[in-house]
Amino acid sequence: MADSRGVYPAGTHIMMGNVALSEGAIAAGCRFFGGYPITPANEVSEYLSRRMIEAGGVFIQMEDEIASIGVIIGAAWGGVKAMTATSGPGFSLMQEHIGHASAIEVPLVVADIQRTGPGGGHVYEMSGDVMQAKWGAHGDYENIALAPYSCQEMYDLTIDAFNLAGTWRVPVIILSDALLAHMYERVDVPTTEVLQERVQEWPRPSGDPKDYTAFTYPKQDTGELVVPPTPILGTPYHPRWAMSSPHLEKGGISSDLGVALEMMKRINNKIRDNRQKLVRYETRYMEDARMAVICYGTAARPCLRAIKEAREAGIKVGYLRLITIWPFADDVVREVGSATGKLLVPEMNLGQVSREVERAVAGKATVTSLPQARLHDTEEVLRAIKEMAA
Amino acid sequence: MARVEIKIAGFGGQGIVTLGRIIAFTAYGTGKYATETVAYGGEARGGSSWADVVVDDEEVDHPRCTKLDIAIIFSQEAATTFSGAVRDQGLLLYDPVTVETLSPRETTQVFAIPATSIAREVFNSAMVANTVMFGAFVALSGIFSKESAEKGVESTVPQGVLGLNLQAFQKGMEIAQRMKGG
Repeated sequence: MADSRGVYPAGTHIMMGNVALSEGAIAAGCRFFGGYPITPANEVSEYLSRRMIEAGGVFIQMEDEIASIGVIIGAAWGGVKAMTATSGPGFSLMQEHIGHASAIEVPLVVADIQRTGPGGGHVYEMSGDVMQAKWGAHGDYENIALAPYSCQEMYDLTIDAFNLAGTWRVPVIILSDALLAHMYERVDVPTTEVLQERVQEWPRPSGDPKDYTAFTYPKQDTGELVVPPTPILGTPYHPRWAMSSPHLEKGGISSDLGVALEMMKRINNKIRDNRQKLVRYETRYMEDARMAVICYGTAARPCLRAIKEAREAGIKVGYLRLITIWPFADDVVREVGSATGKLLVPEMNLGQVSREVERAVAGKATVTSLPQARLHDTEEVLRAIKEMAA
Repeated sequence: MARVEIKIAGFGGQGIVTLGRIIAFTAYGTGKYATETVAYGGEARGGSSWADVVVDDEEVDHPRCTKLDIAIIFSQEAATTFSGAVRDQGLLLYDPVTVETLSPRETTQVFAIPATSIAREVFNSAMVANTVMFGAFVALSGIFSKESAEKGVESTVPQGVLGLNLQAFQKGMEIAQRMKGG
């Protein structure tokens, strides 16, 4: 539960996106921030350098992004809710440790305030890191990524990110962008009572330490995967080994490649098997839709505008906004694709999610990608809708 | 009232982003929605700066100005870039201290608001030019009542300079009302 000293006054505020994200973290009970400056994520560090201290937490500026993700892995393994914030170039540097955290099941929140890429790019809005959020590190692993589309969601989804990280013991990536990060908009901060309901304490190990299992394991009777509470350094609830190399449920390292396969299955299937619980999305205008726009993040906003204008022109177009990007919303995408037969996927990249959509619909709908290197104009989305309707 | 798109543009340090926030606060105070997006890049004091504010009766979808209803212009560079982008019958307010030439559409309603001069001469502080301009904006756009606009100023401006800003707001309204009347 959030520390009462750290809670922003309940009520309506106009906040910058990056501040809303920071306040969401404080409200979620995050009490450790480690980061390295990068535009357009800087306001998170700047704001939390003061606010985290007020809330009784730790703020540390590290020497680079690799150290930043390293220090929050350490903090989380010490039993504290921890996060970092960065942008594409820094997110690239963090991948090795994100892979490590996924392998040893460390709950983390990483805010990636995406900017123009690849390489150094620019400091303007893009969502080119969508695939990187899933496939950035080597090897097979599954984590969770959420895409906010408003300042309110910068706040709300950050709380959700901490809850999900703690429940599933994975790095949770918040995929925001430069435009949303610097947008000022209404944010309703819930009362302490509501926050108490919404903010989940991360499960802590209890009982006889000898019986404690550190890593996800299958129940003997059903095979269902149990995600145990995160080990806590300095307590008896800690495995002798915590290495990302293939390990057994209690942490023993094994060179048996059968163990490697079982470990990979456990850390992947805990997410894959629970996709239904994890996937969140929003639909509008779907009742009579003859085609649909599938969108996410800030790019959903021009899409919504274009859909309203298209409907005024008599085109029956629906709206599906993905809130959870990873794991991917295969089922609802397939359903919307089958129901409408035509999908338009506007993205602030060259079509990263549109290929996932194609995979999910498996030929049940035609998929048109609408790439852009900035926020779309309403007109270009509207034109594409009209071309598809014709 | 449906969607209204407002572009505020000038130099960094002229209170552009704050003026946008005052408009956004006022909108929320009257039950409307608003979103402000700001220029972002190498801007600094003296460099170019702009803010897009979209006010709507429903949640704001597209956060940027796409069909400009109102422009508030504080620099020649901004005038050159944005004065022709204001829609027909739209509203263009500019500060004649910093703007020499404009190229608006014929039917755009154009008002020269001497915000910087008034701020300096009447209030001895160039800092309140943006609230003088806000007063003129409220009087000429008719989007907000005077009372709700004052509440918007109160929720945005620091307590120590609130009185001064409210007077500046009042002055801006008076000047604009006279222009409207004449």
